[in-house]
Amino acid sequence: MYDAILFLHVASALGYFLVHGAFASVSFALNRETEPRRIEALESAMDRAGPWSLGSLLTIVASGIALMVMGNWWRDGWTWLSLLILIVIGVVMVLFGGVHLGLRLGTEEMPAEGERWHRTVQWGLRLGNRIPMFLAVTGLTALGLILWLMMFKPF
Amino acid sequence: MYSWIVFLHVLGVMGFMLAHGGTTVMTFQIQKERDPERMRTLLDLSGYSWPSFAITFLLLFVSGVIAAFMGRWWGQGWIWASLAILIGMSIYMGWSSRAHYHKLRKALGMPYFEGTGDRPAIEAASDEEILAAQAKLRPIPMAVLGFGGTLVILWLMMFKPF
Repeated sequence: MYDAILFLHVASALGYFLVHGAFASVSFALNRETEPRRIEALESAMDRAGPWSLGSLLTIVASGIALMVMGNWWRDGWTWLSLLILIVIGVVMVLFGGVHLGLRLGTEEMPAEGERWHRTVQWGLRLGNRIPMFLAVTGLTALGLILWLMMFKPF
Repeated sequence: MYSWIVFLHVLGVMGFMLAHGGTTVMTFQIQKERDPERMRTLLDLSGYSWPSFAITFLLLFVSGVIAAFMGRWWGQGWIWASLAILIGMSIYMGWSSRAHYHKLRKALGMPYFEGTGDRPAIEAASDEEILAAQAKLRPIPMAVLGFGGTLVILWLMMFKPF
C-alpha cells in the first residue's frame, strides 16, 4: 500500500510539473507580446491549465501527508523542511506571479502604500519583465532542494 | 555517486515535464480557437519551449544511461522495456506533431517542418483550409499515450518487476 501511495505521489508530481510548465511558458511568452488578441490567447491557455494544476497539487499534498503518516516520516526533519520550502515557494510564486500578471494583463489590483504586500509588490515592480526568470530560478532551486531532501533524507 | 546520478535523472524528468507544459496546454486549447492569430500565438508558445525541452531530455537520457551502467541494470528487462516505451513515445509524438500540427502551422502562414527539414513561412491558407487542418488535430491520443507512457515508465523504474 505504501508503495502504491508513493507511486501516486510521484505521478501527481509529474502531472503537476507538466501543467505548471504551461504557466511558466505563458509567463515568458507574455513578455514578448503586445497585441491584445495574442495576450488574450495566452490568458486562455493559462485559464485552461488552472484546474489541473490545483487538482494535481492537492494530490501531491494529500499523498505526501499519507506517506508521512504511513512511513512515520513525520518524526524526521527533512519532511517538515520540504513542506516549509513548498509553502514558501508557493507564496513567492503567487505574489510575484500575481505582480507579473498585473503588469502584463492589467488585471491584478496593486496594493496601496502601507498595505501588507506593498513591499513585495515594489520588489516585483523593480524586477519587471525579469519576474519569469526570477520565478524559474527560485522554483527550480526549490524543486532541487525538495527532491534532494526526499531522496537523501539527510536528517 | 550513483545516488547523485539518479538525482540528476529525476531532476531531468521533472524539468522535461515542465518544459513540455506549454506544448501540452497548446494541444488542448488550440482546438477551441477560431481566430487564426490566437492559433499562431499558441503554436508560438509551444515553439518557445524547444531549447529547454531539448536540454532536459538530454539530461534525463544521459543520466539514465549512466545510472543503468553504474547500477548494472542492463541485464534486466524493465530497463529495456522503459527504453523501448520512451523511443516509441518519441517517434509517435514526432510523427503526430509533423502530421497534424506542422500542417496547421503551414496553413496559418508560419514556418513549418516538412519532409526532412524546416521550411519558411508561405502565404496563409483560407479560413476554411485552416479550420480543416485544425479539425484533424488529435490531442487526446497524444496526451493519453504521452502521460500514460510516462506513468508506465515510472512504474517500471520504481518497482523493477522483471
